[in-house]
Amino acid sequence: MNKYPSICQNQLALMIAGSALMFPYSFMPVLRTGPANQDAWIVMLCSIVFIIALNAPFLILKNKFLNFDFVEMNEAILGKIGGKFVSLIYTFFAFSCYTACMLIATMYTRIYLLVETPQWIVLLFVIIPAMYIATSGAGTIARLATFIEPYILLTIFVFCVVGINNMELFNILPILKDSKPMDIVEGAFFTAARFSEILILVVFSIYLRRGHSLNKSYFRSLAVFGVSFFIIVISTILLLSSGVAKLMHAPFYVYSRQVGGEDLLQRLQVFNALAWIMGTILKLSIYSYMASFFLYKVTNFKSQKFFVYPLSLLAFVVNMLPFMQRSATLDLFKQDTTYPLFVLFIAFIVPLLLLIVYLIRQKSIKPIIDQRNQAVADAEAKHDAAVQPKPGNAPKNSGQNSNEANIPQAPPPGDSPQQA
Amino acid sequence: MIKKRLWIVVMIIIMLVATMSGRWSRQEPKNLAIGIAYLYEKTDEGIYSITAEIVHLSGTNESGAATGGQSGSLSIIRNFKGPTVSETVRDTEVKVEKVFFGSQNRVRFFSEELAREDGILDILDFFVRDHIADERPYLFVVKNEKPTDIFEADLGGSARLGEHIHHIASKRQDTVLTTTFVNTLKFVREYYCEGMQPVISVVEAKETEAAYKTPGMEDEPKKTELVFEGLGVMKGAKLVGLLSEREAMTYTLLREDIKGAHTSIPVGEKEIGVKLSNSRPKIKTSYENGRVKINIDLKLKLSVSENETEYDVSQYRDIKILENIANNHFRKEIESTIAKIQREYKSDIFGFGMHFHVQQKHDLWESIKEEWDDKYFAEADITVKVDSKIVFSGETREKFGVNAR
Repeated sequence: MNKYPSICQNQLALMIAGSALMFPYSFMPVLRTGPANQDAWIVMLCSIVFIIALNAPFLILKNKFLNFDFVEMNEAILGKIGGKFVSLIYTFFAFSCYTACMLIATMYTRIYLLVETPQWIVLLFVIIPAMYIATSGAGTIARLATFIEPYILLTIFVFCVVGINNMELFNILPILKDSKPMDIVEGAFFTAARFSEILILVVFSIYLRRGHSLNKSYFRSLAVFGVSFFIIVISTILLLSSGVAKLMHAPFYVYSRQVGGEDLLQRLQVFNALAWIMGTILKLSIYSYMASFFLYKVTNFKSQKFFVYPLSLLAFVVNMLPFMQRSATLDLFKQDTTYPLFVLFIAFIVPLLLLIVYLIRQKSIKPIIDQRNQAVADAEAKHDAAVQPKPGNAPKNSGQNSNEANIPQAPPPGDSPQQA
Repeated sequence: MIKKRLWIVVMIIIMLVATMSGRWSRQEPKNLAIGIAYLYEKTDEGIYSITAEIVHLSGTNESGAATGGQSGSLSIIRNFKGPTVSETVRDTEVKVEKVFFGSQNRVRFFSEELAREDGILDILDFFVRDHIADERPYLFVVKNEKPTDIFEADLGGSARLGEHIHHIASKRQDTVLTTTFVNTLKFVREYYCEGMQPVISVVEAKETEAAYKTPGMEDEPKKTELVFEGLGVMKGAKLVGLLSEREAMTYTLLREDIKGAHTSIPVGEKEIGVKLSNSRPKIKTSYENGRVKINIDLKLKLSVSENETEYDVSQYRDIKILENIANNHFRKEIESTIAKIQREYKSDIFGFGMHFHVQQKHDLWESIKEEWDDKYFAEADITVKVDSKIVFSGETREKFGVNAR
């Protein structure tokens, strides 16, 4: 019996939403894209449609390969070598995101919070917990999301409510008069193109508990993300105005600095900073886990944990390079011409090509999927029989309720955990 | 299990202590020069002269020796000079033995000369860029010929100038008609708003009346007190004119949410004292034959707090008469102030351009926005309608002294 993490659909949804929210929570690129004016909240709303469209290839693929992990899926579609090659591209992507998020975390900490603290101390402050979480496994990350994400959502909601008195309606006026439809569409597209969290769904859904739905997880995460993103954007524009918010590196933090009482409740932005730090560490641990997981599967090494340390060390070294310590490097991530295109390639173009190849090779791939599904079904039946409680002697902690479910390992070709 | 929970509690305590200590830096509070009011000027040589009010925390420096503040004072006033604001506020001349801390800054003053001649654009860049500054402090233009006089003013019960002004501004914002208190965020927000120019608060240290004098002390230097009257009209980041307290009332009535400001309305030779609250006016714009037309519809609620007149504010007939008098009074004030600003300053501080932008076609606004202040606002036909309602007569009905029926 092998122990595999078991996560529920809400945990997965919170992981995805929380990770995606860290962009608007920090530099809010939607304010500078497309029309880059008071209609940014409309751009944000339209971006949800684009997110669904851009994520569709991955979502369709994952629904076809429910019992395959990410690398196995690639190998089933493209063959061993092709699959490993594509997985290596995703390793690079996950590592890039890990490094970039680390850069953003350290930059904002040094710009707004700990101005005099050296870069290496700030880096260690985020890397060590992220490493620890990533080595603890997917279950730990998921459970952590259920603690951290509600707090982040609470800060968003509370800051919005507390700031209402300072908001000015004229800051969002005129609505849709200064923006051309094509600007809105362009802005929505580039905003959606930054959403790489579909990869989290694809990687972590393999650990979903039996009976929990992949699609429900995705759409719930999108709902949570969409509502929270909307609150962040509209609150910031209503209080700061789009003209001023665009100037700031971290508009929502600056927003949180304006709200609060006069005497008793001062410096409420500390709650925002706390949420942002915890959310960033969670995001880092997710991407660290994914990068190390891909490497582990590609190399067939004995443990995913092993790769977390060298990857983190490498990310640390990269972030200590002189040009990475310049705020102009950070601005590269805000531009529509660099980061969104990279994400678009990873989250849309490659999955689309995979989907096309899958459709072409459907006949030869179908038996592999059927064989895996059958093997998983057999393993589950076996497992159910093994854990069937004797009458009057029910186990204290069944697999459904435990965090680490005892599920038998599936037979070849892969060694992934089970899923209904 | 208990060990795990203990770990969680310890981690939470560490996180809270690390982040909620108020100061996110290695500097101890006793080593900080906490500036709470700054006066920005430019010298004849073109360099910045910044006078700072610094909180006098312990009265001693690190070595225990007494620091050089005014005797018994809770703050120290120091002047610094330098080529840029960021350099100057950090005391590059090394006059203070402490590290400057700006997050508790409450108020920023500008000399009238600086605001008029150089403008405050470069200083605003420092306010929004440098971590030592933020967007919360209130902004004031100092009317005094010698701006540093404000640091000498008698603050009544307050110990420090910065805190004194901060408390006045935050507590009296919606109960004063004769000025408005503008913080940095509001200023930069209006600076960036298309079709609106910012305003800035005005302060002056004026000599106090004789009531403050003690018999036998006539030869002592006269005391001054701070007076907050009027407003500064900005065009971009430059001061173009000052409004008197009566003129500033037009701005507050049209742009602010007044929730109970006391004012008086002349009725013949007498006055009637009212408590006033407003709702934002309805502003309608139109564009005909190359001219902008603006209709302002302002609604006011009045509660009578003092009645010197012979009118009976409990009678509808008299109330109607008084309401008409009030309407005419406010309409004339508003019209004359707007006309003065159109004629002399050509700066749309009321945000009529913003309403025009919202109500008219985008292309029209785009074609005229560059000339909005100097041409279209300055030449606009503006009509004002005021609808006052006396809703309360106070705790009495007839005028005091009259026998009630």
